[in-house]
Amino acid sequence: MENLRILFQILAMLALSPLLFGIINKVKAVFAGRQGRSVFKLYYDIYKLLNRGAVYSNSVTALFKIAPVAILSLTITAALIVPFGGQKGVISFPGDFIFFSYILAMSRFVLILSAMDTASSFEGMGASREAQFAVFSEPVFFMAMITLSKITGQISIYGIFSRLNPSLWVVNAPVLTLLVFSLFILMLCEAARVPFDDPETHLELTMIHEVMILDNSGPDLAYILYASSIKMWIFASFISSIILPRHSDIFWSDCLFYLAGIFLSAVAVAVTESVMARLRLLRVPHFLMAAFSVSVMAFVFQSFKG
Amino acid sequence: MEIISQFIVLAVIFCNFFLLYSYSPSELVKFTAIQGVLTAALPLLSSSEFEYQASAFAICVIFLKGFFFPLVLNRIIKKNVQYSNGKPHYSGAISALLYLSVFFLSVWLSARLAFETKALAWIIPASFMTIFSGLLLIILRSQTVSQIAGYMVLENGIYCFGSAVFVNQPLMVEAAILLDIFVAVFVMGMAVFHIEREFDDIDSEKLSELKEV
Repeated sequence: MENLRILFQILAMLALSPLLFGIINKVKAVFAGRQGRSVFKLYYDIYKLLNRGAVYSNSVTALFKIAPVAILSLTITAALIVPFGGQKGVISFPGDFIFFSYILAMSRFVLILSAMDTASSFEGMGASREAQFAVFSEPVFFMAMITLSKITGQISIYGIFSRLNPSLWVVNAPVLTLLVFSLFILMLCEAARVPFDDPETHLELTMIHEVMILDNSGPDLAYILYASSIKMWIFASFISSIILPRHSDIFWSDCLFYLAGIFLSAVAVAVTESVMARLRLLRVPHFLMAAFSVSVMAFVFQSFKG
Repeated sequence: MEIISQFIVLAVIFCNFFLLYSYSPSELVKFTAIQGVLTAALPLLSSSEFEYQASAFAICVIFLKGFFFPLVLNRIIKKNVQYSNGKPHYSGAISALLYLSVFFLSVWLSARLAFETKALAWIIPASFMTIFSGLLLIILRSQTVSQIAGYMVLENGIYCFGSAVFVNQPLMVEAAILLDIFVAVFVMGMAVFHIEREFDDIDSEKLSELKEV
């Protein structure tokens, strides 16, 4: 039964993650008064790309060819640490949030290397921006996890989220609100969404994530797109586990709450994108520093309280 | 009710953050007004019974801080087009650092002073933070409207502190402070308006260069 549950967790995560981008696009279209694309658009795109061949430039090395697979496998590894519906992730050990963070950092590192491998000045520019934003986004994640760890007294991701329950919201509502806010900003940054990056634009001078994958095509591009959706799923699942903590004995009902939280996060991203413009590139680090300040505030408040 | 008050205190802290971060005077006025309304609502939520006197006073404060003062300041901003391009002397990164420093200082100070208060857990640090943010606005911003906003933020902090430390505030004291603020903003508004008409600019840095011919 336990193995079946784990298998379900993995399959659900792999199958449902591309749906998040579909939901975002659909809600954005509704906001703009359009019918919009199908919510399954990313599935079609991935399927279409997988059936095509990849084109490689003469200047790239083997690194560029390996990178998409490496990025996807590293992102899936990170996703396996994340609890699903209040249940333990496949990988879980004390201090695993440090491992988690560096697995994602490694995936970012591979993406940056592959972008620089193309020898394109635009991709190098995007890589430089991605590296710069990572410097600001990692402290936000660590500070949020340390605060959650302080609230729950646990040092593993599963331990932290398994201890979160509705009664904690009664006592720590403001601290948890601050954490949800900073994790939401982090999700927008990691998933390259507005106001950090605009996935709809294709102007090399202002792009960040998209510019780094301009040379990828066919299955390689499909892997990277899929990895992005899994990354978004990971951060949305953190937010879902905080806003709708539920640990009943009924696995299916917990899962429903968990999935509802994830899809709500996607709707929140779409609403943010609909009401807000993309930030000027120079102001992006400031916004991330603001998120860091908020998570530091949550930590200090929690320490001050206790 | 306490949870609502906690969120209001949190919103007051967030207002400080936006005040230190934003450089547009109209945004400053907007956040100062929001903060003023929030701080005015705090004493109402902290008392369990409905009090006519306190409610009437809170409504008066909300009217002044939420509507009248922003009206006066927005009028000055509209008269002076240069205000829409106002910039601080420091970047957003320094704003975030300033904010964090102010925050740590406030938490440290409130822990050191250890007030005996039955009020909300964060109201004392929030009030210190508001006072320091007001001071920073007065010191660091060159535009006069921003400095007036800083003065109002300072008063918001004092009001917040008062509602945290004293359960029943003497109405006369509060009314006197409010009257001071009212007169100050009114007089400052008029003075700024006249200076702008005379010299076509109200940047306080340029005012320091004035000399007799």
